[in-house]
Amino acid sequence: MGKNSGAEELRNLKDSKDLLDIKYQQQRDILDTYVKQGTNLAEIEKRTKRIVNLTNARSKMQTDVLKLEQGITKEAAAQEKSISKQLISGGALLAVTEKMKSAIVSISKTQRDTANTMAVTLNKAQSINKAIAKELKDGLVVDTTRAQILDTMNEMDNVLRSSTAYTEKQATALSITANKLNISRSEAAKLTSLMQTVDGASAESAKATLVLAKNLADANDVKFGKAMKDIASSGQAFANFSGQGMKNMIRTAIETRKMGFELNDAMNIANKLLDVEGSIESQMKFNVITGKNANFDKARALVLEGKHAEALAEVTAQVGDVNNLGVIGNKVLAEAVGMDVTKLQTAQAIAAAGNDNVALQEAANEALESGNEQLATALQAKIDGTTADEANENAQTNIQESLAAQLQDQKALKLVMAGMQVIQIALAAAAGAKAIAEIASASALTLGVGALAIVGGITVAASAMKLATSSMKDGVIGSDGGMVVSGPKGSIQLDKDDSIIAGTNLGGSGGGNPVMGAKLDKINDSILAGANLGGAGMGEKLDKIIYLLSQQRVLNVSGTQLSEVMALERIPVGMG
Amino acid sequence: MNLNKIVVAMLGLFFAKKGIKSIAKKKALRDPKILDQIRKIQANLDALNSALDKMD
Repeated sequence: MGKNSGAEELRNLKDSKDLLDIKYQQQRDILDTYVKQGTNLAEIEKRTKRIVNLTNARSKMQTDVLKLEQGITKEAAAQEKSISKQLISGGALLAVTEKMKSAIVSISKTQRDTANTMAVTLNKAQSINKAIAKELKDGLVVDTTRAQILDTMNEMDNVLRSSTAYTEKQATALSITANKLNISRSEAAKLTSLMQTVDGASAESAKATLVLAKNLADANDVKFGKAMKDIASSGQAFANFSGQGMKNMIRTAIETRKMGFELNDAMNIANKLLDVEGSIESQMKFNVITGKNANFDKARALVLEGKHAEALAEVTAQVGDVNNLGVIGNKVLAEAVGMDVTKLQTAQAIAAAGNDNVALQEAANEALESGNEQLATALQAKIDGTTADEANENAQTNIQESLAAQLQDQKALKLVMAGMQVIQIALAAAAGAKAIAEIASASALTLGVGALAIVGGITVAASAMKLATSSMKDGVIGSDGGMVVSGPKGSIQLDKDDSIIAGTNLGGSGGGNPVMGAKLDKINDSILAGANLGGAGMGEKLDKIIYLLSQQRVLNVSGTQLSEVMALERIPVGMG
Repeated sequence: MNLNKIVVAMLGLFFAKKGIKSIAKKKALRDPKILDQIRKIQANLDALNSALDKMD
């Protein structure tokens, strides 16, 4: 059908071959007649010789036709593979543009997220992201993320009441320190801000102090996070009360924790002991009721010297065994020392266990006191802030966001998005039409029913994926012995076995048809999902469908008979 | 997605494959080597047919 010189020539060739067969048979029949009549032996001999020559020539020609058919089959298989590849590569390109689109969406989301988290404009968010991306380089990409740094910056904003009191570099360093010391960003921000305000420390030395404090906590077998929680919650009050610097406060917090107390307890006891009159009175009351001989004078002196942990230890020692004091005994004890009996019991139990590595503690104490930044850096490098999985996740997020940070001009992105949309629609259309377009760039008529079947097939499948596809207005027109299609290009006689798949805008109104584009997109995805790269997956599935179809000749869809065209022996010739 | 839709989607794929096969065959028939072969055989056939016509 249509203008197809190769197919026409092949058809002519077959006609000529049929004609030859008829003529050959006629010659044989004539020879048989002569033989039966037994007359004119010379004529019989002449015709026999001719038939032999003719048979040889015909055999050679049949061999040539066989070779031709093999050649066509081989070439057709190669062409089919190539077309399938084109369809699949069209789909692969679609997948790539889809990825690019999602990357752009991610860039926009990153910027919006920063803007919302920091309560700043998109432009400011862009500059923050750029600054963070600059900091998160080399080895640091595995230690923290933009989100964690923003969280740290937010906490610093809350503590310092200003966004100008720190830099992105400091926030990044603090975020990493928080990860490594396993303390919350809120605690890290509070602690460093205390060090900066109370001690006048720089951000860098505050960070070093935190690491050295962790070292001291480890030497004392105290959970650093717990001690830091104490400081974060009571540090400011303790600093106001004691007038001590942060290093002393950290030491007190760790030592009190080691004894089973909290920083708050040290402050309560100190408050109690410094109320000299009240303290002496309650001390006497405690001694009278419990029959003990506690004396808090030394503890009071230690508080005045700022040795809070030692004062706690002295009080614990002075009250002695507090296990069987009775209700009134417990009450007067609480009045005398400013804390309940259970804490003293815990402290006494811990003291009894006592397994100290004094040398290690002294070394850690000294390092904290001297603010040994070199040691702090070495210690921090040894601590893993993230698990391997977190490190991998962080690195991937940071690399993606770092690239995103360089491309955060929203105006440019909008243009890229629009361009991407156009490319995607064109690709969606091309994925379906690429093979067709390559065969004939001229008119659709030269494509034949095969091309129509592809587009029709894709459209049928695509519409099946849409909801409420019950309409069968478009469909298949059976051949019923032949059809003629008339149009501006004249009347074209279709092959006698051809059917027509009819539908509105089957091929789309050009590469830019978004509806057709979306449909082709979907069918492409489904083909891709079903096909492995070699196309064997799709082939297997189609073979199954062919088998299923051969079992059911009349098919109903939504109550509408799809017609017996589905029976394989009546598949339109153009498709076969 | 209900069964009808799956069946119709599969039919779509089936026709798509049929269409690809058909196009592949048409492309193969436009291959110059194949066309050359067809023409040679056609010439031989024509010669044979005409020789047969002259026989009587």
